[in-house]
Amino acid sequence: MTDKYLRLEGFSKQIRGTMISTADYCSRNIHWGGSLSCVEILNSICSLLLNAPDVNSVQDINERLIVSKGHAALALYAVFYQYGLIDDFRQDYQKDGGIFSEELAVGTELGVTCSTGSLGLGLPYAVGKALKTKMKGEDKKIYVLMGDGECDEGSVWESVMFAAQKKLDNLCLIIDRNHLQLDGHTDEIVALNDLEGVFKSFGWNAMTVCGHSYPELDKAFSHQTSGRPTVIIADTVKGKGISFMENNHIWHDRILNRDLLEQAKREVGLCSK
Amino acid sequence: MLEINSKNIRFLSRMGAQGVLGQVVYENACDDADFFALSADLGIPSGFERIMKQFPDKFLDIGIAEANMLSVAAGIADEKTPAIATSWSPFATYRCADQMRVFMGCMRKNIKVIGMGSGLHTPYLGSSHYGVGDVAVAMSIPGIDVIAPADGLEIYAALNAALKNDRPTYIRLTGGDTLPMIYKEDFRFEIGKANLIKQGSDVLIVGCGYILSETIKAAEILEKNGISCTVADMHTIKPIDTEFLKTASDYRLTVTVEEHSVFGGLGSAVLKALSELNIQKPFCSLGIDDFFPTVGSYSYLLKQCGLDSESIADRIMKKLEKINNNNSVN
Repeated sequence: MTDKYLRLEGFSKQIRGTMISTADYCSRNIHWGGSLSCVEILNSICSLLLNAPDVNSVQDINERLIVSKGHAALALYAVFYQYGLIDDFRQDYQKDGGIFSEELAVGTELGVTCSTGSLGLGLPYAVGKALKTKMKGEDKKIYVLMGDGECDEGSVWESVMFAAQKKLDNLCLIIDRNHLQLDGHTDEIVALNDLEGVFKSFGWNAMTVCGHSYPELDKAFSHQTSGRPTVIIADTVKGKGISFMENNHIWHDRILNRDLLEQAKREVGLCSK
Repeated sequence: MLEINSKNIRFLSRMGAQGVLGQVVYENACDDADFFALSADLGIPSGFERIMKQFPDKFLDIGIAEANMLSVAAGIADEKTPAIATSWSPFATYRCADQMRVFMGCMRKNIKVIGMGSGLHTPYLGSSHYGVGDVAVAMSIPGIDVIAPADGLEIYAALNAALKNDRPTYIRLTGGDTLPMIYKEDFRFEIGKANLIKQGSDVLIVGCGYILSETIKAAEILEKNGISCTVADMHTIKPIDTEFLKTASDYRLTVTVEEHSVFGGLGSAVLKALSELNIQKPFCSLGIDDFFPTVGSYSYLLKQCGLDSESIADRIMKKLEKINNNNSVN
């Protein structure tokens, strides 16, 4: 593995450490599962974007990234913190009058451009952004991260068809395919079946990768097709990195109690406080 | 049905709003009542775990697809079979507004939409989940009942009452994991009939939902300041209890208190009723003003909106001062 990927792997662990230690300051419900599953995806995108000379701040990133699964806000905050783009947010997470809500909310300080959490809104919004970028003749790619459960929303498919119609090859959708939603396994609620094939049939450039592998994600991000929007179906594990949360839907949104917090800290390599 | 006694009142208050919803649905399933429950990937938060396991033929998980849920519910529901459809309140109403309009309004389908965690009861999730205008959406649809119960016992009664009729209904649930205990063993519930909580003589305060408990505390503060208050629970916002509102002419001031936008909710409904009754007395509506509250604890959000008991009392006293000043000028 190259130095680049070793560095990103190291970041993964630290980002998860930041996320878990947020529970030292916040003993309420936190959306653990869907935040932990997309750490590598968000880290990859941020690392990729920050390589561009004109991307230096959270505002610059958020101009190009829409996190439609707003409940993954904690992961995004932790990634931003990892890159030194924001100060330590942990004490301010969920605090009265603060900017670090459990779902992402628009605000100038963080530069979030789309309030998400009401699912099925982020992709169509990103389609509008990508369309405008094209109309202005800008060479800017728009990334949007969406959950697999979110694919249940009808608005997702309205914009999937429209993005292909408009040949939005500057749009890159990443689906965090962690196979779980709040009530259980996606196959038992609304199966997504051959998701890659469905996107292809709608005229998208579609591929499936391991959503925890930096080389695979990297390769996928560099794979562009002219005249077609791209979807990267990132196969992930919900609750990734914490043994008792992995593949367990009850950790979608839950309080991490003292004992389990200590165990989670050990698993991400943090000493007990 | 549970017997109304102090033990069960405590039980229902400890269950929280969604816990009571789950209890009602479970009891109805055990009684083999004709109904169908649907949720948009919120079966567990709706308190439906027991029916999901024990009565799977009574429950459908539609996935995260609220609009689809309402349409499927419409296909299932008929006069004898109510369809209960649950989601967080903004998704259950705003996202499904057209489905509600056509299926529940035009076609009068026997659907009971349950808007959960409404008002400010998903405090840490932030503005995307706050239910500030759900009642306004439901109120705008012709012919549907709109009910906002205040405590565990009333949620229990309201849900059971709604399941016994064939009217399209929106039920707004407010409250966290525990609920206030406003009512005692002598509790009665009838859709469309306001409940008198406390009799006074100067100010009539009309409330509904969880915030009624703050309103009762506000009335206590006002009493200490020599202002005698009547407090009423207008649990049914539509059809509103016009008969009860006739009493507004006996007071110096009528106030509505709601954990909802000041546009299109309880305040608007009461004001309209008062104008139809030709009661030309001072009126003031307290609710969430024209802004989106920012994230924080529930108590922080109430203060931000001027809806904690002290702010409510303070705002009513200021309004009374204004009325007095105007009267002395005249």
